[in-house]
Amino acid sequence: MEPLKLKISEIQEKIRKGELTYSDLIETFLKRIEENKDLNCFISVFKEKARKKASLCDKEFKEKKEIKSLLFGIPIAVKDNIAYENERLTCASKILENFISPYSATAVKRLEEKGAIIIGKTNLDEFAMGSSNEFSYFGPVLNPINKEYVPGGSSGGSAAAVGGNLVPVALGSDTGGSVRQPAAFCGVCGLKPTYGRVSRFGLVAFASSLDVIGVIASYVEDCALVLQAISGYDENDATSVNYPVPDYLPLKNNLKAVRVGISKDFFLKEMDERLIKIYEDFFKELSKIGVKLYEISLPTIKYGIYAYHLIATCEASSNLARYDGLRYGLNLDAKDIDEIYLKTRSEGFGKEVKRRIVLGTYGLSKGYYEEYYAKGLEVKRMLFEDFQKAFEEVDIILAPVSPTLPFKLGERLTDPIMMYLSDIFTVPASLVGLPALTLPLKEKIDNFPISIQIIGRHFCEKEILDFAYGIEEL
Amino acid sequence: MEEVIKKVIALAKLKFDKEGLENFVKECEKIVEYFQKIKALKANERKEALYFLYQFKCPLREDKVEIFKNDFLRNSPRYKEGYFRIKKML
Repeated sequence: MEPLKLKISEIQEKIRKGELTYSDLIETFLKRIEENKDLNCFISVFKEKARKKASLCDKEFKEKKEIKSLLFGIPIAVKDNIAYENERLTCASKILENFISPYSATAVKRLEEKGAIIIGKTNLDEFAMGSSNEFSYFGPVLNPINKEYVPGGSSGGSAAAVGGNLVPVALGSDTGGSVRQPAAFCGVCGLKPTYGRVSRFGLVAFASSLDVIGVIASYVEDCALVLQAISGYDENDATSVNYPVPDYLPLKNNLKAVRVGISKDFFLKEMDERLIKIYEDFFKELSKIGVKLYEISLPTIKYGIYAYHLIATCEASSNLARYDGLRYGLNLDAKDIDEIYLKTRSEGFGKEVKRRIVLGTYGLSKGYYEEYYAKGLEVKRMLFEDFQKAFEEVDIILAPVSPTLPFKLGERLTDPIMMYLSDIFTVPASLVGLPALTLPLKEKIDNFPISIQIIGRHFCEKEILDFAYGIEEL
Repeated sequence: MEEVIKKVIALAKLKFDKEGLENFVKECEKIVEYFQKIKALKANERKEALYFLYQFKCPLREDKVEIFKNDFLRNSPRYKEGYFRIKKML
């Protein structure tokens, strides 16, 4: 089997046996990236740096005859809103087109400490604001399953890169579903850890109370491996939680050991009927093999999408106020400071980012704060209590990922509300900081695999990964 | 609503050409209308706002320069003698 489709542990086995070298591995993926440039997955590719590191890995393996970690010499792509020292950090925005990061994100640092090779930075919706990867200054990403369709967003570049076998694994960021939805659209696994599990240090802020660095990979095992490396407390991030990180590997099928909750509140009548049928059949299959399924109630879910957009836009407007053209990023000269702000921000930000800044500024304005932002936070508490109650009865919750199949490029560009609704099933877990993983099922519609979302209790990624592994094995 | 959004655009330090502004304002109005569905929340359902998921401690770091100033300055469009240069304000 070619290395492109192997699990990371299988790649390392081939290297151990002398059937493959790290340099071969890097060349294989660099070639694949080059051949698939039209997918537009990457904003930067670090060819020479990656080759050099792979050669050093080969040398070290030759000398020591052992592989120091499973991530040693493995190419990993990083979403271009996550800092990598001395490389561009664009957030797919004109305003940061030439910004060079002076440091690496903690997650990236931890991967490099394990010996992983950062092969490139992936495309995204500008500042991670979008669900289709069409809002990038560097152009849209195409779905590797069908190039006429969007890969989802905002981590569309990472998902398409993994789905198209351009890299075995990639980091993304998830604010309202930005890892899970594109992973589902591209037929791969997407894991959003618990808020606070992975340090946000070096992740460019969009909505700080929701942003999480996540993992996209072809296999659950690879998601677990990368999560293991990047998890844990970081004193550079005040919201990272000092809570023990368990051993995620080896994975253990727990399908029959956990109580699984399904809520009708997740299955809207407006959903594609073909999707509902696939989920119903899947639940029947689970029940047939002895998985304990329970009906649960999550009545606040219907308000989740409004609360999410209110909270996220308000935080975004505040976070993006720092792009003033004076200290870094695009700077357009003008007669005075006020004119510099106006020119730089107006020409540097794309339309969707401007829209969210304006909506957020509106939501935080005097007279509107109570009506919008504060109400969003009330819904957050209601959702939190709904999930708490549900998790007294069950260990895992299953839900759809998106109400529709992937849509065609351009189809929703003129309808922002339809675009926002793409996240309706992913935002509840984001609002309450729960870990969630999307996993492609065997069933496909129009060649697109259909994914299921597995939601767990705070810091219970292990349970989710074991459950996903069980499904993967079916 | 139109006037409020135009005011907010100015507060956010953004500007548009005339045609672009009209379209942008219309789209924003529609979205604000969509946000208002949250008002369907009944008074008896409402809870206290939840700001933080957990009790975060905010550790204070030692006040020292950890990353060399020049690393930051090199991304600045204009700087002199270790400081950012901006237009005269007065």
